[in-house]
Amino acid sequence: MSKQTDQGRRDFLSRAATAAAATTVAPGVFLHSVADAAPRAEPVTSKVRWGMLIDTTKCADGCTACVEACDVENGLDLIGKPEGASDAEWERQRPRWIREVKLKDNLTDRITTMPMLCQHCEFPPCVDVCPTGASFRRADGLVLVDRHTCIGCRYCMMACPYKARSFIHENVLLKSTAVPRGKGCVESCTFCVHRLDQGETTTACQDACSKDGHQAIIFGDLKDPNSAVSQAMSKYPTVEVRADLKLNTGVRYTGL
Amino acid sequence: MIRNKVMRLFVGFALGLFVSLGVAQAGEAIEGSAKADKLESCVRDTPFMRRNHFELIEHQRDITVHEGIRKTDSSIAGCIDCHVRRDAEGQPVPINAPGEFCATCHTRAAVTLDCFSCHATVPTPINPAPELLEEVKAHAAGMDPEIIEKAHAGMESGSAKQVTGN
Ligand code: HEC
Ligand code: HEC
Ligand code: HEC
Repeated sequence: MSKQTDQGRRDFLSRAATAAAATTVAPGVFLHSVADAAPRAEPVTSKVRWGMLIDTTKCADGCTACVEACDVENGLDLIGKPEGASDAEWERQRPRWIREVKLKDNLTDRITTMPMLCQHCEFPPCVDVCPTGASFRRADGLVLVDRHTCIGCRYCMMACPYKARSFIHENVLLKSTAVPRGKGCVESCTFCVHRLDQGETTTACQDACSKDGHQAIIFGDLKDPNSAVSQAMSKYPTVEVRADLKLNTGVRYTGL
Repeated sequence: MIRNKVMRLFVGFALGLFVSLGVAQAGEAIEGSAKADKLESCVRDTPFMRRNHFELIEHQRDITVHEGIRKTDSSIAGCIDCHVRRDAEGQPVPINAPGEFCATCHTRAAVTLDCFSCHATVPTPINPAPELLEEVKAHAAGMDPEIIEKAHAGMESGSAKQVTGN
């Protein structure tokens, strides 16, 4: 699958770890109603910020449950390998919203596995560089691509420090109603926006990880002090990957 | 898939012309099989819809994508869900296939839409049936239209929860 042993990352990650020891999540102190499972009728607001905590110590080596669940949920497995492409080429270029990344500490040989996905930054570089405004940050913290205005220039892919975005190179013949996509646009993790907008509060990757008994992924509202994700973040030291860039990511890691 | 339909229609047309076979081809939509056919009116009055349907959906598009509003009667998924017709086996016929709802007027008015290069042309649940998925994957490289059609059929009757736009 899309495993990578990327040693360059080790270095920036350890820097990230020191820099972000004192991470604070925006301290919203208001209570808001628990989302009930109904389609959203009011515009999203910044009273909510969706975010995720990934505990790398619980992330099992060789497990690809989150990647596979994401593929299915978002129809990424419906995209076929283009004719003539080699397997290696395909693995490198196929659209993926989560990649499984392996880090090796050269001193201790300790290997860490972790899912890498769109970090839903507060200050997303992909949004800064987008010439059409297609790359945008929704009020509730989701960083999305409006495919209706995306021209496929791929500046955002170059700008993303996390290599989180994919490009659709070929016509998509098999489509799902909930997650449309087509040739010539960039896309990335949406935190399962089609679920959230229906009042659901979990992502496919989180569900899959829990189902497999790992529970490495906690998803929720960072601004709700009582949410599982806020509670966990207040208990454990968490890091932002590339905290030096000061992007205030919505995805945090522990155990790095 | 669309090409396949076009081919079928062409073949059907040719047969109809030369052999005057009036029999419906498998996969051909049945008159009156759309939900809309059993209803009195559209989401707005008909004259308004004829003239302004694109403004309605394009407006909704921005509201949904940027503001997350899904409780609406104007989602494109909703248009398809209500207007799509079914064939003799009860399978939905792609809404943009020749002769189908979103194609007839547009062909006449020479309007070309890119919407359906991304948006599904039949209502689909999130997950197709697993065995169909395997088949799709196995043939993904060539994307054999027959298999794609089967997969769509499987999606319709398939496993997981149905998601429509409204
Ligand atoms: C390049 C791919 C692409 C094209 C082309 C495209 N869309 Fe979309 N559209 C999307 C994606 C992705 C979404 C977001 C889906 C979601 O979150 O539900 C979306 C969402 C929508 C929505 C809101 C969701 C819904 O079901 O109502 C509407 C309305 C919509 N598009 C209308 C259109 C129309 C009309 C066209 C043609 C003029 C079009 N789109 C062309 C990709 C595309
Ligand atoms: C709940 C079912 C339903 C939904 C959803 C729906 N429609 Fe309709 N629509 C109808 C019905 C019923 C008619 C026929 C009204 C009549 O006979 O006057 C109609 C008529 C129309 C017409 C006029 C057709 C003609 O013959 O002149 C257009 C155009 C249209 N709809 C487009 C749309 C679009 C675009 C959407 C999505 C925004 C949509 N409809 C959603 C039920 C629906
Ligand atoms: C009653 C005939 C009719 C039906 C049925 C119809 N359309 Fe249209 N549509 C038109 C006409 C005519 C135009 C061009 C209007 C113009 O350019 O002023 C158009 C334009 C559009 C546009 C804008 C195209 C552009 O390039 O801006 C969209 C989007 C659209 N239709 C979507 C749909 C969808 C989706 C359906 C099926 C649910 C549908 N239409 C069914 C007649 C129809």
